[in-house]
Amino acid sequence: MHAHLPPGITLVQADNLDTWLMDIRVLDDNPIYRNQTYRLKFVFSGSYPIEAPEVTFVKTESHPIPMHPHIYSNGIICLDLLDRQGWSPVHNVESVCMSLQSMLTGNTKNERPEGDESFVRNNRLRPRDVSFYFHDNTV
Amino acid sequence: MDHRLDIADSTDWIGTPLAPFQSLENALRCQVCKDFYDTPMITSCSHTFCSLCIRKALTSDGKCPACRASDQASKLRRNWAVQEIVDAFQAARPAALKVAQEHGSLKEGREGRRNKLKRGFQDTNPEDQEEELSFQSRKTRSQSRRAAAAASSQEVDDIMDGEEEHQPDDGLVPCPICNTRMKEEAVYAHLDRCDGQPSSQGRSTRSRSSATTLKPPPRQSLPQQLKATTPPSERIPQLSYSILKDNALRKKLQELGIASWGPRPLLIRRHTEWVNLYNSNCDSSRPRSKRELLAELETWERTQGGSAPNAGSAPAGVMRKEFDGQAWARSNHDHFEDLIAQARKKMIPTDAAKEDQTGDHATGTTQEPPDQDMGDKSKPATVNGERNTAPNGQISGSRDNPYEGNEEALSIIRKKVEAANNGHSTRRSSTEDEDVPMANALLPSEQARAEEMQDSIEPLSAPSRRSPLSPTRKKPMFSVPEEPVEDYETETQAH
Repeated sequence: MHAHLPPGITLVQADNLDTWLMDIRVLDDNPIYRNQTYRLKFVFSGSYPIEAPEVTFVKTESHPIPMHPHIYSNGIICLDLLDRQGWSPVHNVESVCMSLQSMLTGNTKNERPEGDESFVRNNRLRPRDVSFYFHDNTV
Repeated sequence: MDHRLDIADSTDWIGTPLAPFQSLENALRCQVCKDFYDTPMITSCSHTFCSLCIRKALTSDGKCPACRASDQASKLRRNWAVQEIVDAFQAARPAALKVAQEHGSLKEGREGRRNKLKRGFQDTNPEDQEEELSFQSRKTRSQSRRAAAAASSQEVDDIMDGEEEHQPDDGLVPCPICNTRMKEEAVYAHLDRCDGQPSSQGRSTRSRSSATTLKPPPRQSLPQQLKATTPPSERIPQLSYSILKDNALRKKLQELGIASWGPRPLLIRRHTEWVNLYNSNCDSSRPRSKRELLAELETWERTQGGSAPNAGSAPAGVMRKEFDGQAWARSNHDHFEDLIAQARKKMIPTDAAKEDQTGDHATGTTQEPPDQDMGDKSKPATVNGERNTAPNGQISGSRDNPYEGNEEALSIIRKKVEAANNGHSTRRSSTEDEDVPMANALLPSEQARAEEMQDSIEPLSAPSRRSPLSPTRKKPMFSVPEEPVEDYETETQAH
């Protein structure tokens, strides 16, 4: 699988069927994300693919959390695709990575979501238990 | 070797002259489970999925996974054409891949060979790998579907030759769960109680697909087969769980012959799982026995149902399915801390008391108030022991013991008893009938008892030292006891 991934997507770690790590890069020359690689963590539940995996950005020394109005600074991603309603079992790791790639590519705002600070400070729920309000259909 | 790496995949075609077969193979795989279609069903929106996959998806959110159009399980129809194509392709695949890889290696020579080795994750050559693959598919099928396996036994034999180095040729088959080798007939019985660890193999969809979807081609053409095995029974209707009370639901599960334990949400999930399993089996052109389905439900129970490792025991039923224990622990951290601090506070005095006791024991000093209650309770036991020569350890265990778990106190008591018994047994030889006069020993003053206690604590308490201590023993030998002698300590003494 490693050799056949679309450009900009790399499999970092898939030792088990619970947690995978993927690296993604934005391919075009978007100034916000230029020369940066982001690390994604996929956590699969027992009912995957019927249920969505839990996908978050992970911060490491060489991997920052990308700036995006729908990505909180703790790595939690607000994307309907990853929510219960938006998920479909036909998606897979590759398609999720590509969606996130394109979500970053299409972004022009170098900012965090509204209320990022308080969310990061107070949120103790896991991403799938957070009820996002998908108000913005432009991204 | 990790067998999970041997699974056939569409990427096998990449790098061979038949590279376009990758997309052909992808088209023959279900988009949900990514395996070859198993009993393909077509939705009202004309998308095709495995029967079990689409049924699970529909019970989960009622929408087609591909286009998100609403649909119902009752509107699904079989897609025989796709089934036939998949069967034919799977039959042709090993040979085609072999040819493609051989052709590639001839052309590329050494270079090509190196590439293939890289791709193969193993040091066998590509043909071996291929043969192993096809053998596995036959093998899984021969376990799960005995009747069909018999029909194509010739095929199985063919493959056996290539497999000898990996599988002992002992006529046994491995259990699909725990891999224990056994007779084919024994597999089904074994599956019912197999406690292997399928969780390491992944979730039940995976194990299901690996167990059932890698099927060899049918020997007969499909229409014939359909005549031979018409779907066995009616599909189970979905229930509207909201209108059913717990007991009614439990009864439904019992009627279906599946486990009916656990809290309501688990019952609902189990019923849903069973309906999906059962109905997709009804769709199948090669239906399996109910027994096999029950074994599969058992696997589900272990991995995702009530026996799943993360489900826990009782509390799991109360919690939401997605209950996040860590978040809960974090948000209630302060409260937990308080409770722990409170518990610690209570612990400290107890510890201090224990230390007192040990100190006393070591120095042999008089017992202080903390030990007062110990003295009170253990003394009658000691006295009784003296009177009846109870065996060691018998005394402390014979009453409702307040010192259970308190090793220090227990060991003190045991020592006393031992000392008492020693003293007694020597005396006993001279004064045969001791029980009667000793009855009075029950009534010494508190003070006398305390003295006796202290005395017996001393490790060196010898019989000679003891005898003058108990005035009761000087009583006339044959005096009638004031109270009936109750020998509840030792049956042996009671004769």
